[in-house]
Amino acid sequence: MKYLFWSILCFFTIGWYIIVMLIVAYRGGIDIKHLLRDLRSGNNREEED
Amino acid sequence: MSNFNWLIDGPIVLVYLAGTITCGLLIRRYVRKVDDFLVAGRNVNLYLGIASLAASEFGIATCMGNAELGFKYGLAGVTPGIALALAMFVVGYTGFCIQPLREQKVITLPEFFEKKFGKRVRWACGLVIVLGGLLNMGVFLRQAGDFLSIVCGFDPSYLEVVMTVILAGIALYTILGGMLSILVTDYIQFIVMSTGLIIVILMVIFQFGWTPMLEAAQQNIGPGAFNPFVNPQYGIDRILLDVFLAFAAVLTWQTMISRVLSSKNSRTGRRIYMNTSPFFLVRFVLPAILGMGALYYFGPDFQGKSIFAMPQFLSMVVPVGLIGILVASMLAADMSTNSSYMLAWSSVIYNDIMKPVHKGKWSEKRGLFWNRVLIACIGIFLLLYGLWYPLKGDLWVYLQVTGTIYLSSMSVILIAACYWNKANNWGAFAAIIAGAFIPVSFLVMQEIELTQALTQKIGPYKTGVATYLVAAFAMIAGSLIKNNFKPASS
Repeated sequence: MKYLFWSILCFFTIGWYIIVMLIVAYRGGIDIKHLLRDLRSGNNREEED
Repeated sequence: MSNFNWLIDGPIVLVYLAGTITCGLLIRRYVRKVDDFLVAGRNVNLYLGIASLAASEFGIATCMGNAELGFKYGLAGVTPGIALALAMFVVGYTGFCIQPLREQKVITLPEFFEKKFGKRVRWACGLVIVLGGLLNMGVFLRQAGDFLSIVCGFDPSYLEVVMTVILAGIALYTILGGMLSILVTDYIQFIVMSTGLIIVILMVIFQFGWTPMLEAAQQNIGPGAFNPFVNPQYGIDRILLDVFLAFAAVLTWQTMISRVLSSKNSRTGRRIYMNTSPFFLVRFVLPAILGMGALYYFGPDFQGKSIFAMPQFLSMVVPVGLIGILVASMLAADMSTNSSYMLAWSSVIYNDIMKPVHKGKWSEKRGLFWNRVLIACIGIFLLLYGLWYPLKGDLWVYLQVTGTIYLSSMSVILIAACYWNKANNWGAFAAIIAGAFIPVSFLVMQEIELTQALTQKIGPYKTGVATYLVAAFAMIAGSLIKNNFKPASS
């Protein structure tokens, strides 16, 4: 196929974007909930390595 | 003629705007300290970090600029995206520079530099970052106005009013809620933007066909549409600049770095980078497909500037209802970018340039007040600059040249600060001067009639590559000269 590399790259990108959007939509909401809870309690839980 | 219907699509856009701005405003009550305002209390976790970084780095200007690359160069125009995605993954995986940066718990890059090079370098770096950043951001608003006026089909004489209204809405929640409001609105904007973009891209591919679009690019652009090395308008100097710029941006662009600095710890910061890296392909691939769709639809004889081909194409092919979602998604993309950029540059002005004034001793209340004033001032600057600066040449090239003003010197200084013991303030100053002088001279010479021919002959790509190399050489030479003088003076 003439445009194999670009076709794989483009469709991989679109597929990745759809999957990540769904995951981030779910998990990002949880992150916001935790962030606001921590700020409300004034407990900045900075976890250093 | 646009398909946008004010009775059907208008309410979709209004609901989105009202919802986002309300959420942004509700968050303001959580802001108590300057740290909450600038880095969200350093509490950002992985998924929110990904949403925020992705949303803030994709605006209407980026979309139009990258679609123009697709329209003119085909998929070869995706090259900067490949370089950026690779650079982001490598930096995230290795923690190169970003790990020591996050571990120092600083708010901005210049604050980090002060620890190694002293207060004057911090101040000078702050100045260069703000100069480069604001010039870069200056064209965003006009591009957004142009896009909306074409896609919604309203009279271009309303452009200034539309630009002002958009900016006022963004400035309102950014001024009141800072990074916290930005994070929450970025999350909403990421979902709205992604949904709209994915639907429109799939619609374009299904409507016109993937292979016919690629064949149209091959026919109109030639083999250079798929190979940047053989494209006469691309070439090795431009690819080299793409690679330099990608690594420098990933390491030092304040809006990107601020996500690492806001993260819970350095490991989370690195994971945000690694997991967001494919998004930098999305940022180029999706607009390039739209640009190629425009090329397929209009052919090479498109009447008008190439940058307007994509919005014109979308205004004609996206049906009523869906075009409202598209406009909402592009507004989402633009609002998240503008709010993040306004906060990023104001944080550098407050934290670094104004440091000799407040000396870190102002109360939290006074600090918050001045941060808000600075964001308002940046908003006014954007409005004036966006209205008066006439863009010449490719939008992406303008963004590269203005970004290089600070990316070249800051990336060199950051690498030296992290990994070269002999680096010192002489080297840092030499890098700043070299890094700013070349691109600023290029921009000025481009405007003067007498030197226009010379700038066209040299071109922006060779200028950009030279800037990075000269800045690195200046850092090494300046540091070694001071080290040689030191024993004599002591």
